Amino acid sequence: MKKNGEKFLRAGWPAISLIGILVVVAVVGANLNPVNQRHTIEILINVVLVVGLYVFAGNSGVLSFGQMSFMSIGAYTTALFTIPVIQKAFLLPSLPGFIGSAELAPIPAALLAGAMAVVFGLIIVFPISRLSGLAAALAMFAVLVIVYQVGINWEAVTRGTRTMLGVPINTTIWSALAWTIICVLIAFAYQRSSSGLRLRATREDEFAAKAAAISIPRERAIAFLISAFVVGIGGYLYAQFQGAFTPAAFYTHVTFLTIAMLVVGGQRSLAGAVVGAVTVSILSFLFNSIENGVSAGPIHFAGRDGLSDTALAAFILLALLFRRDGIMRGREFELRRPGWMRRSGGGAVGGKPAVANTDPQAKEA
Amino acid sequence: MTALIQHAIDAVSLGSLYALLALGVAMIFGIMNLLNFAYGELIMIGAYSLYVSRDLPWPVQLAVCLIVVIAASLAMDRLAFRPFRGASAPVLLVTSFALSFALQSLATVIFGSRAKGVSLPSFFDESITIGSVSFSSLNLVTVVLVIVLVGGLATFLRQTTVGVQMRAAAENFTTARLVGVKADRVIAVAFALSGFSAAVAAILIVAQRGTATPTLGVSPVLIAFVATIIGGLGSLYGAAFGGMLLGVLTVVLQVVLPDSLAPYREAFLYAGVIVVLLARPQGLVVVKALFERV
Repeated sequence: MKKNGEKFLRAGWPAISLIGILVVVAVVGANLNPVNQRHTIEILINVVLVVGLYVFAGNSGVLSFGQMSFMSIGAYTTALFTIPVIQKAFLLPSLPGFIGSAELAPIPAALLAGAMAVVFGLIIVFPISRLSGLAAALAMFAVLVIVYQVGINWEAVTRGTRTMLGVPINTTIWSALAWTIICVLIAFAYQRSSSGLRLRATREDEFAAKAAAISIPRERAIAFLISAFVVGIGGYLYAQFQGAFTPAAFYTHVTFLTIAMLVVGGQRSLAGAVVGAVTVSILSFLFNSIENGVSAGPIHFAGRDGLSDTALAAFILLALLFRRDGIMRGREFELRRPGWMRRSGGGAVGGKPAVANTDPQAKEA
Repeated sequence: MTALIQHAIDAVSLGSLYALLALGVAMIFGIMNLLNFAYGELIMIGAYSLYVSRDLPWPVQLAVCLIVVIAASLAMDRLAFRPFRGASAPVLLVTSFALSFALQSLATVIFGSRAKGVSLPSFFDESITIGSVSFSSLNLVTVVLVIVLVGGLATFLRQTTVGVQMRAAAENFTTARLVGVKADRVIAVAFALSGFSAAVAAILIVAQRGTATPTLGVSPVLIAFVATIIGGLGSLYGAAFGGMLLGVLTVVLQVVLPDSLAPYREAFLYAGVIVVLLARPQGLVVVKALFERV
């Protein structure tokens, strides 16, 4: 019995440790002032988005500039199905009847947001999963542009460039934490599944994986759809956190910020995604508060527009300079026995990283 | 007929500008596998250098723009990209993105986020009328300038030692180094040329918009990326062709789409980009040496 428990703990440790980090972030954040409580929710939402991006980009090694289009779909789905009916009649008079009269509770709304993102993913996944490298990244960027353009022009459904408002605000620290944990578990279960392992094999060596009869488009498509679901949930959380937004919220800024978070954390592991999102978000809030002016005793530092972004960019550059493979260097948190407890041979269950940290491109350099 | 000629002039002029942008990005990409986001900020720097030197006579103003942007491009390579030689594509990409973000924020710190008006010599605004067709001299300047630059670049790449080395490096960087091509020098030349194209693009874009803003470079650089990728990675001619195609398509969509669909112009354009990528994932002009052999 004890053996089984230990085995489970070891196998699940990469996920358990990340959940631990998230719980600590949430508990600490919940005890801070209201501004920082809001920031805490934003951190958790960023984690969901980056984990969603990681499920596809991290496992497949194919970067995507367009994953945030699923955030847009998730957020607008949430808005359309949760804004109170009376307000909706006023804000969006020309909606089809069944949407106009729909008013969903938070959990069904979140699931619907994820599901709609998956439906949209299904439309584009077959072409996209056949592309590799930069062609795939750019094709996804084209998808992002298309979703944005439709968003700002389809006034009957999205209110165009006018703000979509009146979304009920249900995202609290605890509901955000719950969804974040669910998303981390989904990502972890996927990367440990046989499909996830096959996809990671294609990332390490495309040709060897092909030779082992792995269908790259098929495995990429599965990861892509799971990623769509998770990012869609992120869109739901965002919509019910902000209450009001425009299509610009799901465009290039959030795209590049989430990619930067993933790469700074280390795009080759789930721990990298979570650690990157948490670190970069916290730093950006810190820099922001400095931008607004800081007084230390007699010295007053008056802030100036743009300073915090400059500092954040400088941090990202330095982080990459000193840790090219990201903060986590492609590793997960592993539970290991201290060296003196390890028996020769037998104790190696958790002794090795889940995936060897060999980046072929880094080695070439 | 008149309308057709008018549209054709617009299309070629926009296509030329896009081709110029694509060349600036493709130049760096071919050699060091870096899609340089910060290329847009070179254009932004050019625009602000025109703003700062607005009271000087216009030849000096244009010269200042060229010198500042080329210097900025070289500094970018030296300070930001040299430490990352040999890093993987996503790392390089995020590096250039962070750099672009940093430069935009710095511009906001220095100049504020509001647009600054920049006046350029008035001959850019004059309109030329031939028969019943009239077009702005800016259109003409753009097309002529880009033709001259592309011609000059082609001569440079064929006739000079550095040019030949650059082509060799673009095809196979490792082998080029093995036969004695100095990597850092070739890359520096590429950055200088890229800076030159950014400076010219800055002048043309500012002449058109009349303002400088911190985010001025964002949409040009994205267009350049798309043009480079659909044109064929690592091929300069492909990139120029991709840029021209994108420009022409934009104008065609503007003309052809009915009013109800006109706002979705860009959505159609990018749908076209996806179709091109699916039909020719390696780009329209294929460079054989770029494929990974097993």
